[in-house]
Amino acid sequence: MTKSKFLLFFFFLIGMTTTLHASVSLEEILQKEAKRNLEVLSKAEVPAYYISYRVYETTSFNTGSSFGEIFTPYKNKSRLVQAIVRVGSPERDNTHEIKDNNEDNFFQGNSVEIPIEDSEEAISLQLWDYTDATYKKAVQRFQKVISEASTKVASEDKAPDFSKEEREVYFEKPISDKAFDKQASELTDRIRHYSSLFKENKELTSGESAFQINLLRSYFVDTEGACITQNSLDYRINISAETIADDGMQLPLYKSYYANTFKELPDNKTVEKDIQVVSKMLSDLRKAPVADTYAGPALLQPEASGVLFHEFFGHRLEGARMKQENDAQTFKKKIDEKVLADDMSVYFDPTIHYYKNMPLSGSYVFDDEGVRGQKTDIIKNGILKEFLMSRTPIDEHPKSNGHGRGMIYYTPVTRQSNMIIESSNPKTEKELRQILIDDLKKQNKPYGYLFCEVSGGFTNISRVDANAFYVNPLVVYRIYADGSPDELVRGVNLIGTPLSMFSQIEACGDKHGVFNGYCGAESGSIPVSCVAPAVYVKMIETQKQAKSQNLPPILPRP
Amino acid sequence: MKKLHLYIGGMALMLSTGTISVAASTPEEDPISKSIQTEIQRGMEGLKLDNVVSPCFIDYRMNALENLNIKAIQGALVFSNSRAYYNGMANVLVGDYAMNNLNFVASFRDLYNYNYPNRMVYGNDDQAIRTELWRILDGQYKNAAERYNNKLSILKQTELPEEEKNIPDFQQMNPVKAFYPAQPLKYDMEKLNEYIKEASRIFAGNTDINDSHVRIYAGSADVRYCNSEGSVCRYPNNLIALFIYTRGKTADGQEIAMNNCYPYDSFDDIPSLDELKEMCRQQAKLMHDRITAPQIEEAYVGPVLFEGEAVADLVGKLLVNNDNGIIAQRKPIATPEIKMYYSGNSAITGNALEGFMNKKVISRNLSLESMSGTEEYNGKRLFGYYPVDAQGVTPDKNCPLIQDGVLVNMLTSRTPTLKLHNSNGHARATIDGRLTGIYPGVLRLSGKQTVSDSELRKKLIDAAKEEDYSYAYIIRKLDNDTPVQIYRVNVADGSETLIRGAIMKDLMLRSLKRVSGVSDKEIICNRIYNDVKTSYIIPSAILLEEVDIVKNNKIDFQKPYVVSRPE
Repeated sequence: MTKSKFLLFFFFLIGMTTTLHASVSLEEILQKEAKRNLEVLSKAEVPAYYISYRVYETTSFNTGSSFGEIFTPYKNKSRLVQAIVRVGSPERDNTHEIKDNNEDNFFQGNSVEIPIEDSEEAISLQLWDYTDATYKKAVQRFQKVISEASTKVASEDKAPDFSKEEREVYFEKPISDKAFDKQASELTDRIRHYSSLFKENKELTSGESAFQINLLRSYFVDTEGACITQNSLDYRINISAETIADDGMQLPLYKSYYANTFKELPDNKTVEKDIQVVSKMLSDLRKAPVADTYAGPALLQPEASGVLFHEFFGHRLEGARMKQENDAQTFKKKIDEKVLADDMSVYFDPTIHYYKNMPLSGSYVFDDEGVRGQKTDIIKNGILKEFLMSRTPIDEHPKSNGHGRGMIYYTPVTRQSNMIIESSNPKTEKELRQILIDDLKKQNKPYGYLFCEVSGGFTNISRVDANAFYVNPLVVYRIYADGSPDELVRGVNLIGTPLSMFSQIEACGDKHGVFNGYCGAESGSIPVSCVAPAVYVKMIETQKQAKSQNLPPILPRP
Repeated sequence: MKKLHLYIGGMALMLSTGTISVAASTPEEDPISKSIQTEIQRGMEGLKLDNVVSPCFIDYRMNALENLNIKAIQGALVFSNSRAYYNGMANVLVGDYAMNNLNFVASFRDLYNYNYPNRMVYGNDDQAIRTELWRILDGQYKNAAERYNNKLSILKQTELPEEEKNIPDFQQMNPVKAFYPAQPLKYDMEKLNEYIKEASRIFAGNTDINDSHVRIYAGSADVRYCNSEGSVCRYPNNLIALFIYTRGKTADGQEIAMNNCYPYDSFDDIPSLDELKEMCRQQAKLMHDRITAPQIEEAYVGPVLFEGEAVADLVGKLLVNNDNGIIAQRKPIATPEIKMYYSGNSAITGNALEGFMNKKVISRNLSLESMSGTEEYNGKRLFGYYPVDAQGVTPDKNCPLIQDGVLVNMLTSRTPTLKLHNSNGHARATIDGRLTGIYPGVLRLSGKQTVSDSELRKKLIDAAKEEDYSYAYIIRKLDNDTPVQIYRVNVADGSETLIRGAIMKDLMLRSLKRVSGVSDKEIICNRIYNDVKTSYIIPSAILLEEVDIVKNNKIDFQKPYVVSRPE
């Protein structure tokens, strides 16, 4: 070989060597470390049988504004990993419920920050250290599960602790964040403008607008062979304002806009119009009378009805809960029973991003346990057919339908996705209103209620407390049986109990609305949506809303 | 730091200090300060409810803060972000300076400072700024009025000792106008990323270290302070902190972690990359030494030499506190329930040391002075210097606290205490605007009679022999009661062995009464407490006559890793 050819060959070798040591992908790092750890831990005194790593890589931009001035722009990129180690066997493992002891709630979990760059050495070392600690905690918990088997009554539910599922490999290309700076700059100008529009109304104590751009790239790897990499991108704009009535009641109103793409965000005209409506509504609310407690018929507009269904029904379908002895298990034994009117159906579908052109925030391809999200028919023509399931099976429901979800700091549990409520016999708005008025007359009630906008709700699902729920409405009207104009009122919450609420839903409207928001529960705050029609409810109950005891501001707003 | 442009009131003083810088807007020109002053004035005049007292004082301190945070692990970036925002803290007093809503504890929250800054709009729109402040002041006034009425009702049922009856609640002061131009930190984010990444790479492959990172935090605040007395101040507050964190485990399962913090106030002062790498190497070496060090064998009561950083740690532990250190603490009016549950807390009882005013509290060989108003010392800019405190008071250049062992003063704010009725400008706020309380800026501890370091070492060994010990101890770094770097010194040959698992027992202020020697060299150590900057000018070594060192029984020994380390 001549000298020049030798040199060429030498440099080629160097190049090859460099190529052979090129960066390893995050998926490969996670897989290698999960496999390596399980090889040893599966032979430990208390053997592990399963390890998974879930990583959330989040790029976010957000800014807020108040009365025409910006607060603080914030841009952040981070990566968090959560490790799960299961010891024992799928039939009985460390995730089994420990009764009467909330401190050992498996679902508490934690996560660790890892580099945003794919450094094998750095990430492997962190994973190793974290997995060791997680394994030891799992062993400790498992000992308690085993000892409790001898000292407490057997669980009613005999299903295993971990389901068998098909494992998949799935990869989405990364989404570039290059456009975000420009989009954020434009959105900053927009929200500054939006919040400035609230200045006109001197009765407002606050007038704000904010935006968020969230790009989530999630990775899931486990020792059963799953390797999932997927993206989720969403845009949100919020407007909010508040006033305070003379009796100290704080009166907020919000409007939020959710979009899957930047272009889908509403145009300025739409938001400006909504701001005018919100501003005027708040001034009207200040003067509105406080509603008293009430039991009787009501109409719920789509947004309000969506939240109602989410609270009184949605949480009670979350399968993993029904394995817990302290859960009320409201519907556990009601499969194939009629629970709603014959014309009503309810399903969850994380695979769709839109419903009748309305963007949905509860969408995903794979859930946080690496199971493909599935459309799940819950109620078909009034009959309860199924529950939302994760990899925690319950009696007669051995498989996941891809609803294991949770924030990265918490272990996934069964949670909701996009909830869709439909009727095969919808009524027009006019017809619904007439049904209400007819019923008012039959019941000899002077008025019923119309719930329009809500801020959210809450429900209790344990056996310890009353299994009630409430929905927190922001805009409520009285509809008079005698045809008098609708009257705006304030200061009520809609309350109830689940089973009785089901039997009171009589009719649905013909137009759907969507509530895109965040649901908070054991595994943290996750994005969900509720698509619902307006509903007519024969009997609802209201209670007075808790209110602030503060006096209105002493000085006029500058 | 730019030269002081301080003017109080009249023309004469202004003429004597020279021309005020016009590079940035003075408080008079500054639109944000004007908005704040307007709203404070409106609050003073208009915040009034029927049958409720009016405000007697309002202040507002606003921080325009820009900060960055970069962290890397073994050469890989974990996060790199920067942020700019405004926030502020307001204070409304109702009643009068003699009696108002201050110095009253009715709940657990009042004992500890849980007040955090409120958000403020990021801009200079007058209406937007004043609207945020309007909301805050309205709420604060109502809260202050309620507390004031509660306090009066408690007082009606309380017989205060005579000496406590006439202590004013808040010191009234003349307005101060001070302007120091902002000193934005100039940096290149990409270069800083590489700097931190490269330094963190030092720990890659180190089998002693199971977890590590290098992080930099930098905050640059442009602080505006206005109050109803007419004070208008504007000054910078910069902080840069480098953190080097390492964690490992000994063979017997003790976790050893070190999180060393290196504070600076300018990017000019931070170490070069090579220097930072060397600091990482040194920490790695120390980790190895600590992990392989033997455990302390037996309890020890004898002479201990504190060297270098450990002297600063010692001063901080024994002197910088409000239990029995040099931080003045007012004894508040408290509800009976609070007194019952928290009777041992200095926030309820006041600082016991104040009762020793003009009495010997430490060795007569030692003196302590505050130099918070001094910019430079021996040609070196002092990290802990600040021109104005968080209440608009200028700290003295030199303020004796302990003279030849005798207590003569303490660090104070505008809240008078039993014997100390005037502020010496030590109300401090963090870089992000939280009011944390009274903290030193620059403290100088000095010895009247000093000896060389070699003489000190000889004294140590002689004193140990006198106690029939075959060894003595040198401590070079403390973490509260735990000596992080503690060396057993063989009295026969002077050799040193690093040990672990030790803790100091019963080390308190009176330990400084028995000082066997003070070094003739002086060093400067910088610290941050809750992001408040402090410099210690201290002897490079102090020999204490008697310190208890025992085995730390609170250490949690863990099982080893089940899986081997990744290659």
